Amino acid sequence: MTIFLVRRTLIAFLTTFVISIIAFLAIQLPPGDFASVYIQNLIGGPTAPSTVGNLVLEEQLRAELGLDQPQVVQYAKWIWRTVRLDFGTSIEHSVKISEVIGQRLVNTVFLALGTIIFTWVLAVPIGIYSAVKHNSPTDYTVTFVGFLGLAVPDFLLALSLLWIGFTYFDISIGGLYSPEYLEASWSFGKFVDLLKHLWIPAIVLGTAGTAGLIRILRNNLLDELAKPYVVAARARGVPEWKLILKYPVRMALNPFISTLGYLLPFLLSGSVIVSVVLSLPTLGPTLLRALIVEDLYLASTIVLMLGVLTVIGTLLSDIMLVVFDPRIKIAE
Amino acid sequence: MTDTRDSALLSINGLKVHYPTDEGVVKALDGVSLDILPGQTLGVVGESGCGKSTIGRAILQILDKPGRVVDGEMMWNARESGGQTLDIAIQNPDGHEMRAMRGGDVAMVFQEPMTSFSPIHTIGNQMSEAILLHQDKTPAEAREWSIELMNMVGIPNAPQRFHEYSYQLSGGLRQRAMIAMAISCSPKLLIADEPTTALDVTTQAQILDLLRKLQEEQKMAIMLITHNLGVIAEMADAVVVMYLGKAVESGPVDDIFHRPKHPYSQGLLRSIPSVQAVGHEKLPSIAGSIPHPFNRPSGCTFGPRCPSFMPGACDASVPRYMTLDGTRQKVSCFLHHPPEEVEEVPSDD
Ligand SMILES: Nc1ncnc2c1ncn2[C@@H]1O[C@H](COP(=O)(O)OP(=O)(O)O)[C@@H](O)[C@H]1O
Ligand SMILES: [Mg+2]
Repeated sequence: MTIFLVRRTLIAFLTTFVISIIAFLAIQLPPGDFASVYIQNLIGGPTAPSTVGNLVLEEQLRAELGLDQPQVVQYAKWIWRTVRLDFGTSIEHSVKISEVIGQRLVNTVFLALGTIIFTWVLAVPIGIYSAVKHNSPTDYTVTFVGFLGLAVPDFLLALSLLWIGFTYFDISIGGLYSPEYLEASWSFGKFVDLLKHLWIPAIVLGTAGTAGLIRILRNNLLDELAKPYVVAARARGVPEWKLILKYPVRMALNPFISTLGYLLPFLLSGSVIVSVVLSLPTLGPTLLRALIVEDLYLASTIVLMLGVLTVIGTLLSDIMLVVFDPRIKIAE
Repeated sequence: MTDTRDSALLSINGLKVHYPTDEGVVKALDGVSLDILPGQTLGVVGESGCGKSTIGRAILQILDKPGRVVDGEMMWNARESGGQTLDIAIQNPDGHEMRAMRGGDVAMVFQEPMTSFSPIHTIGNQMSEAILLHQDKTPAEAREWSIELMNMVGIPNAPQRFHEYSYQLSGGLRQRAMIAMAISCSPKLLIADEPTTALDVTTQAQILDLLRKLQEEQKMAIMLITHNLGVIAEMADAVVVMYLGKAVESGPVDDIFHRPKHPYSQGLLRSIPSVQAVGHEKLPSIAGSIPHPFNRPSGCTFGPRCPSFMPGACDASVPRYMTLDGTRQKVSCFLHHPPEEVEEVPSDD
């Protein structure tokens, strides 16, 4: 168990290291470096004539940031700054990157958690019911609605909800906060306000996932329900509902626990368009914008964070899986 | 007959179980009758697919979907223990009576000890579960009792095994644990469905010894389902030979082995070199093959494979299952059918 955890943690660190190199290389990829892009930005775009003064300024900046040094040194400096949470300056916004993404990161995590909770609270009971009563009218209905949920694109669902809210209820359902809480610092009131707004994007983002989860859970459970250990438990008199929850449901849920970690980055990338449509202040639109305007440090910071979140999520899944499935402990 | 029916612990009469599938109705049990006497071992033997497991499941009302009892009765005699006679066939599978019976009065041991334990719960967890369901014990007492049972069935290091998972035990130990769990609530009837089929020969013999020892101590009846006649010879007091969802012959084990009356029983017995040999994995086959479940022959279903097939009789009507005069055997075959008993068939005399 301990060996398993130590090993997984080491792998997590190694993965993070590789991700950071990739994120760093991504900064270097476009033509020019930070200094030249920065200066171009100052004087108004890549087509503006460069002057001698600008070139001097560019060289100064380059020296200041250490961009004239070998890549390895640059990487070391960048990573050293990054672990101290100094991510540098956003070219477009001309403010510290931590200021640009801080609040958005929090919103993103809340949105992701909200979506996951929505998905599970809905999908697990429906999936179980659908499997236990398989081939019943309810099962067919769930399957049909599920396919609809899978087929409808998120942005279309978002647009429809916006339109319905606007035409029939005369409310605007975009955003994550009411205007009075937008700039407010964290309080219980703000949290409640967030919850009031969160459910709509959670439904939009969670629908496809819910439908998929119901489908897979139902099929996993159907396999498990016929296994001899279920029959054996029934034969010793365990009440049916207790039996189903204790044995096959837990087995059927195992694959989901192991994929929990991937949900976070998946939700982040999946939420970009929905966030734009519903004007949600999350990281997705910021990343999109940063990539379009070549705001390099901002983009790579976000990419790095997504990577780190994935690694953390995976590590958590691994740990949870060990807790839930004793077979893994032994195998390791 | 009537005398055994009255003293029987469980008397099954004309039981029919069907599995309605998309392709058609599988008549897994097509009017089977048998009696299980208290404290005795009844061997149920027959080729694979003849409905042996279905009987065991039907007694506990835990038939796999979409199986259901469509006819017949299963009279459970609880008079001895102060209760009343209960017809299991008409009980609600989810009702209180059936749940009390499962794992309580009637316990089951399965063929696959590996897959019959949950891989993510400890052996102890599952044993205690059975005990706590049927007995007025605290979890600590249930644990103590589990460990005692494990000692009883010969599992070494019981306190440690209690906390282990099924995949940490050998096949033989797993089956011992299964048996310990089954006897935890002192059942009156233990249904053992191919309990040794998945085990190697040495372990098979040990498990059979254990079952015999426990039966003596606990005075329970055992319904031993197997396709292995060697196991029957070693264990059973009485035998029921099944073919395609029906009992075709039954009687005391010696009579069946030495004087089988039904051509099918005779075929089965001929196919083993020595009845003492334990460990036959498979019955060498009788001529022909088992008919498709949706396409049963008319008349006696064994007709097409029978060496003594009599055209005009065997394919015209179904022989009655009845006690043969002067024997303790029941048989369903026109070779032994008194002419006046023949129904629906024009007789020549
Ligand atoms: N769940 C089920 N659905 C459909 N048919 C079944 C099911 N279970 C068993 N059967 C059929 O019922 C018959 C008897 O099966 P079973 O009782 O398992 O036989 P045995 O234990 O003697 O091998 C077989 O023809 C089998 O195919
Ligand atoms: Mg069977």
